Amino acid sequence: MKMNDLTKDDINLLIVSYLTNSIDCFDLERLTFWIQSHEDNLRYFNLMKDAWLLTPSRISVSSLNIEQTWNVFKEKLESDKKTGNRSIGKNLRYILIAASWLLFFMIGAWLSNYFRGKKVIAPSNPVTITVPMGSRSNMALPDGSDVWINAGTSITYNQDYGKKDRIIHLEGEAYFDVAKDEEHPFIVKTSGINVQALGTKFNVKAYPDEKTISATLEEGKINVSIGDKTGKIKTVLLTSKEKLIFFKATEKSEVYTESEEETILYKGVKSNPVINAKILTDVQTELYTSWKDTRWIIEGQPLGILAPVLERRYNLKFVFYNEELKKYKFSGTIEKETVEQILNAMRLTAPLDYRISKDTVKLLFDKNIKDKYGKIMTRTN
Amino acid sequence: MNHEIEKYWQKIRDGDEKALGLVFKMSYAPLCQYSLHFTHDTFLSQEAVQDTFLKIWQNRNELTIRGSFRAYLFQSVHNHALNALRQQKTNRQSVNQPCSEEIWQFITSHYKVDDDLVEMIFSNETEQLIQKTIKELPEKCLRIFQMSRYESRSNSDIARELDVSENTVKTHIYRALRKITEILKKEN
Repeated sequence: MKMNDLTKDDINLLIVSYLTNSIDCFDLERLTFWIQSHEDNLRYFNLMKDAWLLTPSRISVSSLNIEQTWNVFKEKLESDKKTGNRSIGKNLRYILIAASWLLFFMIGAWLSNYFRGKKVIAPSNPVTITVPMGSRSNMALPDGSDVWINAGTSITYNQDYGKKDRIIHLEGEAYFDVAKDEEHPFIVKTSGINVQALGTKFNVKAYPDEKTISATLEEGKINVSIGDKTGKIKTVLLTSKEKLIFFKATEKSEVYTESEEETILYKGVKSNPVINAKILTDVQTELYTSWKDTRWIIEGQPLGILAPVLERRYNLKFVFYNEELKKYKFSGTIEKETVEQILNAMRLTAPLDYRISKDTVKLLFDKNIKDKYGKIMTRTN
Repeated sequence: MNHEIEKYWQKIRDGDEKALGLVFKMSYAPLCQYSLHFTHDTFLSQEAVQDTFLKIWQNRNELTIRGSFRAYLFQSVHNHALNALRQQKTNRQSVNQPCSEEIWQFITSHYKVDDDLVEMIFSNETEQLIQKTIKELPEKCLRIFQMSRYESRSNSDIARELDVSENTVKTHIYRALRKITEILKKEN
């Protein structure tokens, strides 16, 4: 390669290109050869580099959010310590180990009863089904009712399910298609509300880390029981296409309104709003139930609400580097898209940038767009 | 960031997470500032600092630090920042040929940070000297240098806004840098 015909000006331009991060590989190679060819060249390059390093823009310390960054970072250290990485294989292994222990105890219980000469009674241990983050499941309950279980959810029922009534304990989100059986009421219990149904299709969302619990009725009728502020139980009847949102916290104001356009009615308790809930009528139920289908429909959802849903669906952690981003709303249909594809689609309508490392998605304000706005924004420098 | 951090290294080696936290909180801002010098990107610069701390924590048992812990932090942040930059470059240059391994090795190994430079970066005196020098630059040169260095604008961006060629932008940056190297020469 011919390198010696580089003029002093060429070299200076190459160095500046390098320092301003605008050099291409070909030029980088030329520059490297030049630096290597003589000790003085290296010295000159280093001097320019030092000058460059001494004149940066200043980071504003408050924007770094050090305390919060450390907390997120600490979690990373801890999860690193625990498992390294959580693969499906590992989960499966845990389930298998748990199952073998369960079998062991059941045989043990059976044997001990047997040797005592007593009749073997069916164990009354509750049955719990847990669906981990990043997956969904569909199963049939003993009475033939169908249940779709969303990510990060567990449902529990007792062995006597269906004898007198059909009680399901839910933590997380599930959609129920209840088999008709008027003699055995079907009840979904959550930490805040209970939903009683006859034969209907409805969705209940009750994640412990969310501020609301909601029940969305696709068809039929359900009774929702809520404890009011005085401790009494109030019952609200929902008819099809209605959605009840129960606020766990007492202050409603800090909860995102899911859709301002929808009519808000306080049914039955209109003049006596002691129940911390609101009821939406004529809702587009598929917005709340389509998570279970191949086409998941999102409409006008702010990223702040969407992020926890995506976290569970993809088993990722979202970290907002910019709070402003939570307010941007998105609509769309998700089929088999990867999280990257979704985020890239979002970037078309919002100044969003992201970085994925391992199981964390960092969301930040798009720098290029920020730069464009930069001209009209006041600077602190 | 002061010399207090030296005594925390031993505690970190012993697995003291609190000590790590203290050093993290104490040095996060200066280290980010430092890595910003290479990366031009506040996000990448933070990532480099976090990677550094993660690596230190993970390898604390095998790690031997010669010299000061402080200098070690700067040097590792430096390496991580260059790596991040390199990854970003290779990602973005999917059309062009990626840079060869040897070139990067060379750049990384010759892009040394010494304690003196770190000292200068955080010295108010140097900062004042630089500010004084920059103010004496011809108007156009000053404007371009400020846009490049203080507003983190790309060469092409500056060229577009001021309606000049990219080479003109680079030439002005070079002139400004040469002025600053004069201070460095005097200092040494």
